[in-house]
Amino acid sequence: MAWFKRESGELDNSGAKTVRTEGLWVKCESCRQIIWKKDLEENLNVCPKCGKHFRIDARTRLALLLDENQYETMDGNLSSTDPLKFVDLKRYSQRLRQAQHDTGLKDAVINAQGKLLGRPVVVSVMEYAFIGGSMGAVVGEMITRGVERALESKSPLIIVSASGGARMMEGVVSLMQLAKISAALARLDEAKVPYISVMTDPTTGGVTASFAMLGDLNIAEPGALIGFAGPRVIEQTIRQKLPAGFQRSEFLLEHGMLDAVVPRQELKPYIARALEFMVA
Amino acid sequence: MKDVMELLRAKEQELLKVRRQVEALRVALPLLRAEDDSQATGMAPVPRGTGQVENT
Repeated sequence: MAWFKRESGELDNSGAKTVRTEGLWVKCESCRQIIWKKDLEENLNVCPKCGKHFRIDARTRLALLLDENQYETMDGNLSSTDPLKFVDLKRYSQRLRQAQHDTGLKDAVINAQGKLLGRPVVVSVMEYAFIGGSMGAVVGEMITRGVERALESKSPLIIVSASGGARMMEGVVSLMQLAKISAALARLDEAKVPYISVMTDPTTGGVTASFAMLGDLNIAEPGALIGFAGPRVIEQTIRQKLPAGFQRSEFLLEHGMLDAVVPRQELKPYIARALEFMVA
Repeated sequence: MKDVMELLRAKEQELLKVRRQVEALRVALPLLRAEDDSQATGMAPVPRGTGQVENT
């Protein structure tokens, strides 16, 4: 008698036994270490090995800054009309539809009103995944509405920037937003309502040239790229090699362009403490 | 990282200093303008106490 008996029929290899490992691990660009994605997320998307701050989306940022379930989003119904009917490699309208589908947003910013460690605040958070967080008419209008809401309610304003600059597909309309937002911020300043600007990777172009640098307190995350023109353009213009770390937040802090570089884990208590000083 | 309270206090002091400098410039500006006007109308500028005496 045999100890083992071969069963008739083919082995079934389908479905349930397959283990997918794709997307479970992330390679840190900075230290080249492989990190378990869950570990990274638990550490607020900061590399636990070297402290590199990975980019996070606008919704995650809001959840990170505002007290749980104590905020409401607003102005989310505004959408670009493609005023120039712009076409480059693709139609702008097509790019917009794709970005709206990918992010679930109408444009590159979320406006919210809520509480930060119990203190009412108005927050605008930019979404880099939406056409590079570029600022067109809608982003300009939404940020202006955020400023006006802060002015009306006398609540401090926090803008979290993540942007490649003005949206080229909207031409001069996007450049007009720089002046529009700056004018609204001047009114906020006159009313003595505090404004804290948080710059994340990357904050460049027209956004840096307007509201990102106009805060009563300008702070940035570690290692964030912050500048107006890119380093390659500057090198070609001035015909000089730029120093190491140029346009990174630590370099800007050292040269007086920023007030502080604050790690993501400390951002919320840091802002709360700043507001304690400003509102008192 | 600096304490944010300390940082904001220092920032406020800096702002006060700049405001004072702007005020001082506002006071000096009309004086400089008066000097410019006198040069434009061909009038002799006000002597600045250099000790130069004209021969008569």
